Amino acid sequence: MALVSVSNISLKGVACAVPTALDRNSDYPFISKEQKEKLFKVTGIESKRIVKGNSTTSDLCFSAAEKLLKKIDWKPETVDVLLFVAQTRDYIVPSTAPILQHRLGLTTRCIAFDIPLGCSGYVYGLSVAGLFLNGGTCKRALVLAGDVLSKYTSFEDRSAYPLFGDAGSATALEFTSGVEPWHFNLQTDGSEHETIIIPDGGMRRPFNDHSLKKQEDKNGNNRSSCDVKINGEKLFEFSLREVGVNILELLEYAKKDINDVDKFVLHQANLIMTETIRKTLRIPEDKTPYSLGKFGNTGTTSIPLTMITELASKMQNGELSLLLSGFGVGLSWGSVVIKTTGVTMVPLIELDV
Amino acid sequence: MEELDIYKLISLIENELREIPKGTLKPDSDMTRAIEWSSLNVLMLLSLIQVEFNVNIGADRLSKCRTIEELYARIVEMKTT
Repeated sequence: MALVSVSNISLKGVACAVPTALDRNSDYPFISKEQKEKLFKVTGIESKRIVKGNSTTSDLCFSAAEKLLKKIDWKPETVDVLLFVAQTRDYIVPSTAPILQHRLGLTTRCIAFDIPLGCSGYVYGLSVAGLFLNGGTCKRALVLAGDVLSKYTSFEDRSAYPLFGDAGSATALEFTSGVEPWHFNLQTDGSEHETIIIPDGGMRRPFNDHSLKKQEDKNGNNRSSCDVKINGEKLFEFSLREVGVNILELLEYAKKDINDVDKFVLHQANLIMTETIRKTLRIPEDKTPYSLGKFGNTGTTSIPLTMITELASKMQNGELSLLLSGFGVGLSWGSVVIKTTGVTMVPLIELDV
Repeated sequence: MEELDIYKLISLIENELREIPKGTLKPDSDMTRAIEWSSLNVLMLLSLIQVEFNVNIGADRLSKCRTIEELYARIVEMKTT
């Protein structure tokens, strides 16, 4: 049972960066007008932001981190830990975190490594950073979470293309003695790892002459083996089976109930999935903010992006009890309950990339 | 959560999938003919069954139910076991 408590950490600040380029699902040419209405009802996604050029996830995270460091007045040499949480890294080798350590001007005494998780990654990133900080020898950590999944999504795949938006984030955590502990519930089930997969390009199925050849599936979607492939129905079943139970177990462990939590920031997978979880748990509608209408499913960024776009003034000006929950690719899922006070929330950064 | 009732289930499906004219679904209606079996419709049905009956039926089990009666029986079975 991966229930973990981490003491002595506080959330200092959050920043998110998105591309300016807007991609509207109403313009998507591979579905009819009637299907578009149903697509909107099911996904809740009107539009998303897409990187048009060659910018990477780390570029978006870099911009977010640079602005955040300035806003919270952290000198680069005071950052002890940098975690890059993403599935879309700059290179196969090396990891991206060291590149960001250098770009941000952090010292060589900084711990920096990648956590290649998707939708659950933000919660996992917070847990790892928190575990480094809670002893007190490391004082400051940056969690840089993002993904540019549009580069790995076939335009002709109706089951994936309308869903994913690109975004990057930076979250600053600081050692703070005497604050309420953060409680995590982290889980994994690799038996269903093919539910969301990019089959080719890794060691199991190396890139080959056929990797880029698009093939039509039984539903008429065209994608290559280097594009993301999603079994939406399996993912839905998994999420309904596991996420609610995970949240309830966590609340029990933390000796809280749904009424004690001010906001539930759930991964913005798609509207019907997140709403079904919310309704099953009987979480009041006004406790569950959404950013997916304008940004789509931004993977590991969806939780910090929702905090920036929907909760900024509340997080900045008062004390909030939050439950964050990420779930998806892996399959991997996790939730955390935290209390925040006076968090620095950088206004959304829009980049012409 | 709603009490189990096959006519309630029919009404909920007709309300959710607007393309089905109200009053056309019967307990013995062949769902595979009456309902367009698209992934969006499947997700809507899975969500409806979870929210209204607290049953996570799953797409595989849903696809094996040919009629509304079979779906109802499956929901009752999962609800009571």
